[in-house]
Amino acid sequence: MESLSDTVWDVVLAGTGLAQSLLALSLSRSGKKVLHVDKNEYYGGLEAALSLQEAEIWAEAADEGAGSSPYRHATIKNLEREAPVQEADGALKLGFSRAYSLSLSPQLIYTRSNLLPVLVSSKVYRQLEFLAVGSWWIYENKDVTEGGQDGEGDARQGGLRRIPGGREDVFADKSIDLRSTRSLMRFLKLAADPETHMSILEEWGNRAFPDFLESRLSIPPRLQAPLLALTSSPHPPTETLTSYALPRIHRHLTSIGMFGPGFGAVVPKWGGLAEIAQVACRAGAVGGGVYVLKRGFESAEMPDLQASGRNSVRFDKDTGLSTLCLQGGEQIRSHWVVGSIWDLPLQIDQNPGDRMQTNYVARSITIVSGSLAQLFPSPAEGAPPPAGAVVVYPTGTLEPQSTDQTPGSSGLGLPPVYLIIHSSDTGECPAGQCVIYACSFHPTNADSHQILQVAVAKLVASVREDPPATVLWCMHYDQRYNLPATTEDYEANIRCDHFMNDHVLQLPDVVPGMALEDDVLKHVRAAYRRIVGDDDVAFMLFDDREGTGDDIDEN
Amino acid sequence: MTSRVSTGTRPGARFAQFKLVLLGESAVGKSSLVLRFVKDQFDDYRESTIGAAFLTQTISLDDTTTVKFEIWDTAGQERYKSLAPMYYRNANCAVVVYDITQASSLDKAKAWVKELQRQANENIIIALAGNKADLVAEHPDKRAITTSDAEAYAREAGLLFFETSAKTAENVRELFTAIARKLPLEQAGARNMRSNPRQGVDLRPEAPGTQGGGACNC
Repeated sequence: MESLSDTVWDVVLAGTGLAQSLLALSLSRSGKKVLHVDKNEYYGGLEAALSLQEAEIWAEAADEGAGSSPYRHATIKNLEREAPVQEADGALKLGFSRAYSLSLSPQLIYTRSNLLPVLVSSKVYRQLEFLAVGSWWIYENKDVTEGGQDGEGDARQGGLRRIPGGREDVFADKSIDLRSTRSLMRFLKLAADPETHMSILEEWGNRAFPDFLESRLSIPPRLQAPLLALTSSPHPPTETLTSYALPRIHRHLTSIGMFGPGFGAVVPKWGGLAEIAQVACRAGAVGGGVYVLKRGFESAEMPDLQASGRNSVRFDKDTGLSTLCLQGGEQIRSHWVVGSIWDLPLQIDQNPGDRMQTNYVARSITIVSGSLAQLFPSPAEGAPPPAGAVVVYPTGTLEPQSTDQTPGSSGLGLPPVYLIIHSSDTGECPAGQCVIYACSFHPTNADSHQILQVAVAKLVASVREDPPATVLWCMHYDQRYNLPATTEDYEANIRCDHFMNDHVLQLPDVVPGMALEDDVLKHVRAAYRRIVGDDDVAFMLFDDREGTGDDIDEN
Repeated sequence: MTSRVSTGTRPGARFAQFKLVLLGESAVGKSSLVLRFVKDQFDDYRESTIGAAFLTQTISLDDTTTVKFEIWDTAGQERYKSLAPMYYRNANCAVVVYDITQASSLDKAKAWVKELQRQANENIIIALAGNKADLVAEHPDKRAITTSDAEAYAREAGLLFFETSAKTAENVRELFTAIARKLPLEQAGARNMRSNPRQGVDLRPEAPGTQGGGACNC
């Protein structure tokens, strides 16, 4: 094999996050010479999955990585180490490091996601396993539960209520009075019918979603909370616009039942989106792509490059080739260079003003002893056993008692807190344990970590388990994010304005929210279009490779 | 592990799928071993594999048990050592290959075994294959690593061991069959067959068995 610098590459991909990996997959049959590098020694970039040991190393780097990574304030607490359990065994104790595959990208994938058909048409689904996300739960405080008709619920500190999965569930829910049932039915019908959305959004689009529910449909506040939860909105209700909420509820409702009864979303086994990224990279390698880990670009943080700024990628107009320097000094030449903002040789956060507008999401990963089986009831007859569950703490349920001192309280309340629970069926932890992924788009971050901790603690306390479930290990961190692109011009979104070179493309980060958004694949497709030319009809449409087909179906 | 076990159509029939990764120094014959196993072919002048290969092969252990291997071959990219981590992630078994006429290739193999034991699945099945036995059969003086030395190392490290020849097919099938027999069929079977043969979600819109799962691209 020639050395990296002897080859003239068609495409150099930087970083093995989901977006770059999907691009590698899409190019794997194009005949193009692809070099795929990653500065990390692991695959997955921001979507990686980590063992306990890897998580320790990751957290150390993330904590001090300001400017070169989207993370900050990463801390790990090993509660077992602090208070070792004597004589306990099995699931009550933290397992060995490699028994865990903790996902930095636990997002659920709606069955209507544009990604799933592409995984099938590109044939990589054969290497993936998907598990159902079953129930959605909402946390309700005591006063609210008592306000309902089932006042007997033991709600010392509140409790979980399952969000109805559809019409049948709404009818079956005895705590909803008849009038409200009718209102809800009207809403469900309307939300499922996209043709009516246009006219609704014209009038209500820029108004708060609760306002729409109450004024237009007379849905009482208690029943608004579950609907708001289904939007996965990062904001408190008053800041969640109808234009944001309605399409998301539509997605949620129409996804249910698509691949089987009772569920509308899936998670990949073995570490969330990390697994999809790796499978895509493997397909890239089988297609001839060259993979090199621990080799990023010489970053613009190097003092001599800092001065030259824009010159970290040299572009030759005559040949159309960009020249870059890999870590270690190797010069490489390529027609196209594609990466995330964290992988391209850019200077990030140079301008202190940038920091002010930066949004962060507080995230945590918690390993719990106990299977929390109560959260994973079979959602319907014949449904695959769920391995994922969602718990939402609406605005107002986690506020400290003295509400006047709430940070960032301008009468709006804290943003909701979202928890995705992965059972051990996901392969992310040993049997008898589960992993709780929490996030909140908390604007001030001062005590957002504590709020996530409270949310997890309340969940663990509200689930009855024998012996009682306990937290074994947790990691907290902040992740920077940009709001999803508002424009549908995906070609413009992948332009990288930092270079005077339109052969450098920048794939936006996957938004660290609850669900994987469709724009990830749309950006990948836009990049594919730029690279192969306008004709993208063959995008991700592959035959099985010779000798790899399903000669025996396991059914 | 990516093992999948399910009951077949016949009563008592079992089908299991396992991920296998092939590791070893360049030019020890990794791709040739796979080619022999999967297609029963051999090419004397096979050039260094361009890119990486992925092949599958199914073998029957007995009347009721079928094992399908997904074989990942890092061929051609050994220098960067970057494919191996994603290949052995969740792999159920590994074949580490050396060339019995090249002393240094066993050292490389030992390094791979160490890495697998440190990084891969805790209960990964590892087989050591000393390839190019045909060269030694013709010219015994070419041998650089004695069978007993390699065998002793394999025993100590808990590996299956075979001397193979991709060229003559010696021990190739035996190697893969031995791995299949050692894989935790019962365990995986017991876990998966209890409730639902397919615990996961099938993304294909068509029902299984209908067109679409077919592999014929001729």
